Amino acid sequence: MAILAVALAVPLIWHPVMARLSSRAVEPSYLPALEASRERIAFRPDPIKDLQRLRPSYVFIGDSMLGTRIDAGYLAGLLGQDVAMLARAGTGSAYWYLSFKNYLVASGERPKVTFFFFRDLNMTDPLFRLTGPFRWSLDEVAQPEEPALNDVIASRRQGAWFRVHGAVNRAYNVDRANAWMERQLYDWPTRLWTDDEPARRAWLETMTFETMGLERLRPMTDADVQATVDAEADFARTMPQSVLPLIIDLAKQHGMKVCFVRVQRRPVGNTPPAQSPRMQEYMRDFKAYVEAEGMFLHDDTGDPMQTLAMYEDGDHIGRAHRQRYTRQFRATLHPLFR
Amino acid sequence: MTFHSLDFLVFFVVVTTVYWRLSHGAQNWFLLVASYLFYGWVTPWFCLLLGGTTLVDWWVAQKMDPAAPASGTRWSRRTWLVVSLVSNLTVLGFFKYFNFFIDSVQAAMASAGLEASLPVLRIVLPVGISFYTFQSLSYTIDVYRGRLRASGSLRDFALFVAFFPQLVAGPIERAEALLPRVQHPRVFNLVVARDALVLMAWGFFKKLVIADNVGIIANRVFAMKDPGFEMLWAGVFAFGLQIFADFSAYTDIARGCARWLGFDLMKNFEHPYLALSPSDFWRRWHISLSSWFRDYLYIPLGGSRRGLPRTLVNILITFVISGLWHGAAWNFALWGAYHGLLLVGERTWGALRGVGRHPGRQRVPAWRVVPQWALMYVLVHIGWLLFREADAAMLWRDLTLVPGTAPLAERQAGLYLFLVAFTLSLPLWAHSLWTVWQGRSYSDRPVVREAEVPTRTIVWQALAVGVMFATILVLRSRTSLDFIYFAF
Repeated sequence: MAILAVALAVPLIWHPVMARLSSRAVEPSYLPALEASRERIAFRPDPIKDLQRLRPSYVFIGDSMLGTRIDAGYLAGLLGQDVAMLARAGTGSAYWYLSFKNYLVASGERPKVTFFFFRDLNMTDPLFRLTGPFRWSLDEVAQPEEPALNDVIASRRQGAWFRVHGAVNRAYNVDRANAWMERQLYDWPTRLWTDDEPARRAWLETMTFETMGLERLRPMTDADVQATVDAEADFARTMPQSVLPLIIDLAKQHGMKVCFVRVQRRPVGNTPPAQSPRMQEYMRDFKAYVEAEGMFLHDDTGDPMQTLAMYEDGDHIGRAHRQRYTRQFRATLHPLFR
Repeated sequence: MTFHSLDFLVFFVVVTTVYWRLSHGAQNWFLLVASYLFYGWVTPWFCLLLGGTTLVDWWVAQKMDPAAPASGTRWSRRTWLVVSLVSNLTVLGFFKYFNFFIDSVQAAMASAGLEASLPVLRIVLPVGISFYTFQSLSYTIDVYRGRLRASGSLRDFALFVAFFPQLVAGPIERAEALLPRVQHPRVFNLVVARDALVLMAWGFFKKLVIADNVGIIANRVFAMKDPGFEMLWAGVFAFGLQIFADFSAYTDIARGCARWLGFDLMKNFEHPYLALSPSDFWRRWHISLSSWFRDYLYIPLGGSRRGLPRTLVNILITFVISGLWHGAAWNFALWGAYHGLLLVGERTWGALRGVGRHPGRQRVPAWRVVPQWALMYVLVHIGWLLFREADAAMLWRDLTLVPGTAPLAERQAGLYLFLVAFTLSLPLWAHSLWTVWQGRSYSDRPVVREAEVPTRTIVWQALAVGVMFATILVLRSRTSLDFIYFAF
């Protein structure tokens, strides 16, 4: 027992160690329901200026599902109107909501339609891509306080396990120590070629999204294929604890129109992936809810034009087919582009 | 159930607590039920296969035990052995190799200009089937050879096959070592339990901090369609660390759990990346499997008793089959053949220099240690490339890459990934060098009585577990990967 007691006491050392080593300002988390105070990356305001300069008629928000499907320049050419992309690979609905709120709404621009691209259950799963390495990208779109998002997260973390997890994190100062340790671990090699922190971050971004980005991946059937948990396909239960109502409320407050676009998962052979009855019901409920709120939902699933040949790895569309998808998208949703 | 899950933590605490309150017979029943619960936690029907293998081998062993009054002639005993071999290998072959066989036949026919559409089944590979099949087979072969009496107790034999700490990824235990432990009463030893706790903490540290973090690097590099030389070999380096940290972590956790229950499992790794020759590597890597192949395949083939040419052929056969044991794909066979060729080269070199049948056991002069170690390290990692790269065209491309030809950003990225992986692996290297310095592994410490353990040792153990726990809390990978050897 003594050995266990000592072993449990040793990690408490993170408190004094971090107080000494973690020299950056430690800020209270904007998601206290999820994590304790830690170093964070500052909010990145550049997209607000970009939006104000561009004054786009259409804005697209999403992750790599969007980035590998819509060619913004090409679409702008087809429409004769400007199009803006707020796309970032490896993000989830919490990030999309914050992009919408803190970039688009904050910019004062009011595009005709804002499109959110998602896969299956992403829009009602706020915990998707929220923790671990994903929190750094979330930092860049978050304000010092995000009470609405925090309430959503809190409603999802009420079980005993989450309470234990939170208590352990607080007791050992895990979030702060983790943020510091990870930064040291992943940053130090870049100091070999530059001391400038913004340059180091830019280098890491280039490595992640270009040198080793999606374009460089092999065509693999199962790469980045996120398995859908059928049991979670319960719209009535998950929607109130998601960012979906927040997005819709915000859009209504500012007189904006939003269209949610569910992308088609990778076809099997040349047939669309099978849909469980639960998933079909989920999408029916999703559509009914969104339309009742005066917004739109478009589901790519089952579109015979989206063949396997268009896909590269996992659910991503190949670069060579991006314009074809964009063209089809515009044709299919032409009422929204008038 | 996997070791690095909350389910297992609860399971293990409950099992250990109840277990030591039971009598010996009840302990065995309890462990047997717990082992089947552990195995069938996610997919219960896997237990049917495990039970079937157990029943057949127990029954067959009864029939061919040479010391049993009802044992038959040598011919009938051989027939029973064939029953065991055929039943075990048929099940293994069906679940593991059926689709590989069909694909290979189809590819061969296509290359001959014949179009054929053979049936491909959606077969789920039961976790650990290669491990427990080999463990059970070693028992029937040993009984046939007369090295072992058949176990009269089906319960004890079933526990030997299904013992949960080593069921799904080894070490592949021999009946002569593990069965007596099952059959005889076990005593809780606090000194052993404390050592076991350190071993388990080290296992969890290797899995969660090292293997899962470097695994992300390896997976990312091997997902690329055209990595340059530097990037590719950074990925191979990361994979070499991942597979060692991952697999040895499983073994350490398994050995630690077993010790808490009064069992002692064999070592599976002996700092393999310190190897100085191919044979040295195989004395250090997956020891339970290499010794299994040595005893049940290489030696029955004739081993090194029939002259050099036959020895070399036996080595090659053994290693190709050992490669295929890892998975139903040609890259595994290629990996096995590659290591077989390295050993063939070593044997031939030894024969030419007249240093006997085991040149790898010759003492290496001090000046040659570092270059020989570096050469072996590179050769092993070329093997890991063959192991990890399943696409033949990509493999050829990878092997023909030239350093310095990729764009600067990519070469920098390769260096960056290498340095991150190296940083994460520092505890592994420190552990290996510490062992060399000490002259023995921590887990090889002789068991002493509680009263003889100095307080200093207990404090160090507590601090070691605490530091590993503290690091796991902070640096564990957020992307939890399955143990690699679960796939075999």
